Amino acid sequence: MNPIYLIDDQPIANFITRKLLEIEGYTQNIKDFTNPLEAFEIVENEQDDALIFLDLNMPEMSGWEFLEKMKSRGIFHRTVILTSSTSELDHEKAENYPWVIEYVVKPLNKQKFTSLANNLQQKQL
Amino acid sequence: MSSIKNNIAQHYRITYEAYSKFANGINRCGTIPEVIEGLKLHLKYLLNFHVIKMLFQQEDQFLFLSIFRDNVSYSMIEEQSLLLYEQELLKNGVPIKTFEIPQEILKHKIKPSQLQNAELWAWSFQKNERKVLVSLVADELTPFAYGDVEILKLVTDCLEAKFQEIFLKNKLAERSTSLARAYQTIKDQNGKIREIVENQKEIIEERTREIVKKNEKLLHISALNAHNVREPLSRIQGITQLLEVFDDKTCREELFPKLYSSVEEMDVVLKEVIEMASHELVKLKAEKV
Repeated sequence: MNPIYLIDDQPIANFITRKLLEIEGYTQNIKDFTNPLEAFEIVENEQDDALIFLDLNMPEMSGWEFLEKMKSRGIFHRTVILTSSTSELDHEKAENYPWVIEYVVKPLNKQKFTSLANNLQQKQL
Repeated sequence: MSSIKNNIAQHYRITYEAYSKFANGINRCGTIPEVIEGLKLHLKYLLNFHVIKMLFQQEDQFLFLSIFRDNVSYSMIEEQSLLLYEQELLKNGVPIKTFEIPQEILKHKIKPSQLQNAELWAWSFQKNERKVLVSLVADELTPFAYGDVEILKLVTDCLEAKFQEIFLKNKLAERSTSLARAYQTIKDQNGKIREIVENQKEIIEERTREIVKKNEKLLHISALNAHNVREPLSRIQGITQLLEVFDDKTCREELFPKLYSSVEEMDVVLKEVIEMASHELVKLKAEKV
């Protein structure tokens, strides 16, 4: 199974995503981080094709900074932005990063997750 | 000569021609010095005299015209500078014909000893409310006669009319100058008003900019707040989703504690938002004062 990274400064948010993944049958190779700086160090050295769930509003490093850093290092793991921001501007901004495959507004519920999982399967996770 | 004296019609014709030349000359004048030049040129052909003094009333002053041969001078004088007989004349208007000639009339012009039986003639002519006092000194060598009064009156009328015209013209010019000055003042003040309005406009624009900036700040704060509130709320929503799926044990041990802590956190955030909003409101009110 491809590795999955959960990056959100709120541990409970990561917990929720993990549980939803569990329901869909993804239980292995899931790593969660509350500090995006630490997460980046691991992601940077990831050899396999990974999937990243990325929050935008984080104190150490914002999701945008994380994406910029990925760009500068040439790392293009598929990324799902998972944010509580309902801002249309943020949504538009996400279009600038072609490896961002979804922009999901929290809460991530079962319904949203199922359609996301279907999408991912079609794109061959 | 004797033939002319005997021919009264011819005499009048010559006099009329001389007056006509005089009147034409005066009519063309635009200023007092020009009138004086005209007098020098033409008066001697109309009348016999040694000295003529004319006083034209002009408001509360008199235009004083002094004629002695080719010397003509003028000035403005006050009523109290009039000679005694002139003041009498001004009051009662009775013409004077006398051998008693006041010193002042001849002063600097001609010595009494150079005259033979000199006489002073004086009249008060009135025209349109304005009086003209005319004094004339003649003697046996240059005789003045009653028959000459009519021509002197015509000369006086002509001069009076011309001086009146010049005075009115000057007054008009003065008026238009003061009008121009008033216009300039109005223009200047308009400029000042425009400046003030411009200044006001700038102030208003600045105030508007300030208000727009404050609005933006408030909007930014409210967006930030909404976002901060939404974050724990989305977690609460996420967990409640999970409650439906997981068993009681998982719910009790894992989900509920996280639900409680998220609710707690949301309460804290809301309290912060309320405090911040009221703080901003107080600040805005203070700035308004």
